[in-house]
Amino acid sequence: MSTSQLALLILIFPAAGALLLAGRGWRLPRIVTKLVGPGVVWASFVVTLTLFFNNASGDFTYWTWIQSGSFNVPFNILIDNLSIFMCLVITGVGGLIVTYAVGYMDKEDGPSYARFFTYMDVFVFSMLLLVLAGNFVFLIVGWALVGLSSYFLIGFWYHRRSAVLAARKAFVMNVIGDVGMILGTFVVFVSYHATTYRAVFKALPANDTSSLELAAFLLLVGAIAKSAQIPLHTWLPDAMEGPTPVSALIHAATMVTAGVYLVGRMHPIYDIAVYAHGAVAIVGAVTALFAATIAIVQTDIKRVLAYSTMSQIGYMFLAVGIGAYSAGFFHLLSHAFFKALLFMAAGNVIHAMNDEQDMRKYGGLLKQLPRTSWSFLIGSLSLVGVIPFVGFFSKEQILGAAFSKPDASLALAVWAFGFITALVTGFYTGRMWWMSFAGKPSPERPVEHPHEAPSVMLVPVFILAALATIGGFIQTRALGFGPHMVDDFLKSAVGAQSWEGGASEVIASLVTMALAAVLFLAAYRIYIQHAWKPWSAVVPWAQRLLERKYYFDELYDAIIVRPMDGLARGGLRYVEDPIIGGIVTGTGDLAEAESHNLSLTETGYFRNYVLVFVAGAVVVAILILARAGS
Amino acid sequence: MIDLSAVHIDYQTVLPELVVTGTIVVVLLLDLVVPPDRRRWLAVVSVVGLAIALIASIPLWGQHRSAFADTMAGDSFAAFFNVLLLAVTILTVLISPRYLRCVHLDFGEYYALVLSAAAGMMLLAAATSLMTIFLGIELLSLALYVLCSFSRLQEHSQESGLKYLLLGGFATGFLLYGMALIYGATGSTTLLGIRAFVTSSPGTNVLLLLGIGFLSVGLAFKASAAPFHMWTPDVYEGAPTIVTTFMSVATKAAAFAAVGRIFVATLPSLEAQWYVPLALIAVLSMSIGNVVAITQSNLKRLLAYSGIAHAGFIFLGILPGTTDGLAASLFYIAAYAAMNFGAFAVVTALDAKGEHADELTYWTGLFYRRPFLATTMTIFMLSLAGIPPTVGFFAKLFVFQALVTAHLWIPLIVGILTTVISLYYYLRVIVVMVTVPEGAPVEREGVGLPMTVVVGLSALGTTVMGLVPQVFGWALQATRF
Repeated sequence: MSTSQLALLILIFPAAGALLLAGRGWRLPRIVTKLVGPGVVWASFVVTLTLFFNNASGDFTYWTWIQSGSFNVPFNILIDNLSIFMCLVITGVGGLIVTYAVGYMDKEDGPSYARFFTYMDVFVFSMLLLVLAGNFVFLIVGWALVGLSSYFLIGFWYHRRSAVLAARKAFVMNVIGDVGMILGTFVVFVSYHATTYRAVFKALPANDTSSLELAAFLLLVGAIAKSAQIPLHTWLPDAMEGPTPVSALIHAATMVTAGVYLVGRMHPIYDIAVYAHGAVAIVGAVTALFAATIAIVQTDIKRVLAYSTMSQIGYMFLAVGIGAYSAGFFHLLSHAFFKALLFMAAGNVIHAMNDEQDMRKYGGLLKQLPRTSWSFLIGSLSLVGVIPFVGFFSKEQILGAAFSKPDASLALAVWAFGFITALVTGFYTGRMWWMSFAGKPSPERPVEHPHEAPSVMLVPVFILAALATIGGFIQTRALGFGPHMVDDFLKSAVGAQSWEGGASEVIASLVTMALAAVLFLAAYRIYIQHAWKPWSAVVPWAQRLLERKYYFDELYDAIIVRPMDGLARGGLRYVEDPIIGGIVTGTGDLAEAESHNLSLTETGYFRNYVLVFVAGAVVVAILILARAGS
Repeated sequence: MIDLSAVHIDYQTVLPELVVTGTIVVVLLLDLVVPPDRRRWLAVVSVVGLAIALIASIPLWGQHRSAFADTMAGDSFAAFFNVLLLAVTILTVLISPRYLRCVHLDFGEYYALVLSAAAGMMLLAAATSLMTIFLGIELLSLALYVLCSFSRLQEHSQESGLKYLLLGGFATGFLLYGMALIYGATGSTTLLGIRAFVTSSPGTNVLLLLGIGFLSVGLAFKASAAPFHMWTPDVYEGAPTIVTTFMSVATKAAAFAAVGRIFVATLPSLEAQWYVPLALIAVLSMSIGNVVAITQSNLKRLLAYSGIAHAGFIFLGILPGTTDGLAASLFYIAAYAAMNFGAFAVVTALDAKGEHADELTYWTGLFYRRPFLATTMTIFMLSLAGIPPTVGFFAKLFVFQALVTAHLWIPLIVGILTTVISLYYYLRVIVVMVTVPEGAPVEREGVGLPMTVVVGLSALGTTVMGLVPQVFGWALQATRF
């Protein structure tokens, strides 16, 4: 098969799986769902691997989708090292997560079970479309479909009110981003008269222009919403209402990284639009620190992970924002490994604890769930950034790049944010791990003697634990020597980093790691041994501020939700009901009354019909003669 | 002896009609020997004959033949209608055997009559002379009169046939009178001759105009346009549902073929004269059809009024008197054929079950009993209402566009307003179908493979026809006379 057919096949597998499960899934035996759901994702993974090993690349146009004047939208797929890289992450890590879900969702009844895997496959399809699209229009289609499937999956347990509300919130936030994306695309089209990446990038001006900045900022709105960065971040913690595999797949490994992908894909634009590019770095840096601090006080294990995800994606934004694209994508890969690992391990714990998610009610699980606990520890250490786990190499490469970027005060400033974030990360991660697994069992623990998860849920966790342990050795640039496979691979798609670090960068990395590790251990002293006074006793106002998540939800509620509600209520009472409703129902009543009157003419008597007929003929004759006479 | 050598007989032009006529004879003869429980073979023979005729119609595409001294044309226009009419007839015959057995009407004459009507319609679509137009109309009408009263033991059906016959005879009188006046004014019965006369003597000719007026009355009757529509609800309701399905689509299409040939191809120069009466017919049809449909509680009557309204919409494309406008009408006819045939086919499928399936109350909760039929019916209703992306939307779009191009605002405004009104009753059908019934029995028995295929095909056509740009291109090409 040719490369173009293989590229199409990547999309066809999950689409076919979703269609099959949606149409017949609930009538077929459960085993079909179990095989098809993850199977199609693995099939796409195999195809992607084939492309990867063949060094495939190209821009394949299959057919013209819309042709209207100068507006031409082809259906084209762009295969380059960036899209293959993203596809590998989506189908590889995604395959592991969907396989894990086979066990995790086993409690669901038949129709719900099939529905879940339908949604999952739809999501994988949408995400693949997003990264494979070769033009802005299909990017938007994938972008919106991803938001839609995320909505379905967050609200999967639709009988839970909180899940429905969370789904709605996520959808609204995502649509705000979609609007930004679409407007950005409009600006791009109006400025450069093209929709394909290739044509647009070729038409870009050499120097910065205001329309290019506008487009870059609007696209950034989309990226911010999808990747849950400040100020459109409030949906991600609530999205944890969805089943845990969903959190792992969508809200850790794939969808939320779409913003990073977008900035990377649009790097020719951001390389020129320097202000928007700087904004990317600033948003990332602020979000990284902001989210990490909130994570310190969360008690729900999945919410800690959610804020940690926001924080880590902030790192990726920071990286692509300063032009260290491949470092950002390396962190994307490593984050997919360790965050999916953390979510699925957390899922195992939640599974064992009868759906209890409050860490304060865990404690002492290390002995009872050793395999999950050790896997979780690997993920945690990777998150903290401890050698030799993958998180160290990827995060420190970003920080090193920011630290060493020449003649850039912005890069140094965001490095400072990243540095502090790394320390905070060490602390909250430590708090999470110690509270959950160390110490004595909490008296409120729902299950006295928990059981380890079945192997279908453990094996994916182990595989990711292994990847999180050894994955870093494909690129050890943070230490200043060794392989740099990710950088080499992505060089052709996003360009090489234009500057090199030195020894001071490596020293800074090691210092960061050491301090973060110390804080990881300090959490043990505070939360398990209670040897030190908790920090919250010293600054109670800070504790409150963090628990309220910097009052973002309250702020949005006060300045947007409530005024809108009020406006809507007023509109309903004073405009909709009396004026519009009156007109509509009035017209309806009139039409209905007329209808009744007219239908009375339909008497069923032949003579009446003939009378109307003749009258009509006479009118026609008169009209035509009157016309002739005039 | 009449010397026939002077008349050039072009067999290729009439081949489709000849095939269908031959099939009638075969079916009639076969009916004598086929045992009653094997009558479905008559349907098979009919379908084969119709399919051959359909294939024979395709070579006419793109040609400009005329035969029998300019009384019949073999052109793209005829080919377009032949394919459309034959497709509708094939679909009708496919779902007939099961329905006829269910309502105990399984007689062989049925197929011969349907084929005769089809032959008449095809003749009408190809006719380029007043004589052949009359011949076509009478051939299709006579067959339909019998078909409407085919259910011999049902008073409703008898009443339907009789009303149609009496009013039809009345309309034929007008039609014939109009033709006589036209002949008197122009001295020619062929459209070619009439056109030549009209272009050569541009002055006002009262005889001719009056003739055109009466001709339009007769054709408007066949197209069930207001104010000559009164028969429609009664006849549609009383006739066997399968017959209603067939005639609601095919008769209208054939009548508009004649309207197109006469008004747009022959008399475009008199547009200023015939515009007002035709616009009145269009506006009245849309208004009366859409408004009265609101209070109907019987689905066949509802669809009858809907058909009256759609006749008005099809007339809109004729009004500018241009071939582009006619192309919009042609597209509308094709769209209407797909969606209305589908809707009536669903009614037929349910009607085969038992009593009163055409009452709207029977449809309560159909989604829970018959998800396939209810889903397809939803598609048809949305399309009839003109909701994108169904073909109904594009059909309305094209005729409205034709009116905008010609600056004909009043019919356009009425068309848009009545479209809004029509939403009310089309959506009501959907609402009724999704309403949860109280203790509804679950029906698991199917409607048969032919019905599933036919309804599915109609739904497919309704969904994709508007999205495939070629279809409108065909309509455009068919109007290049």
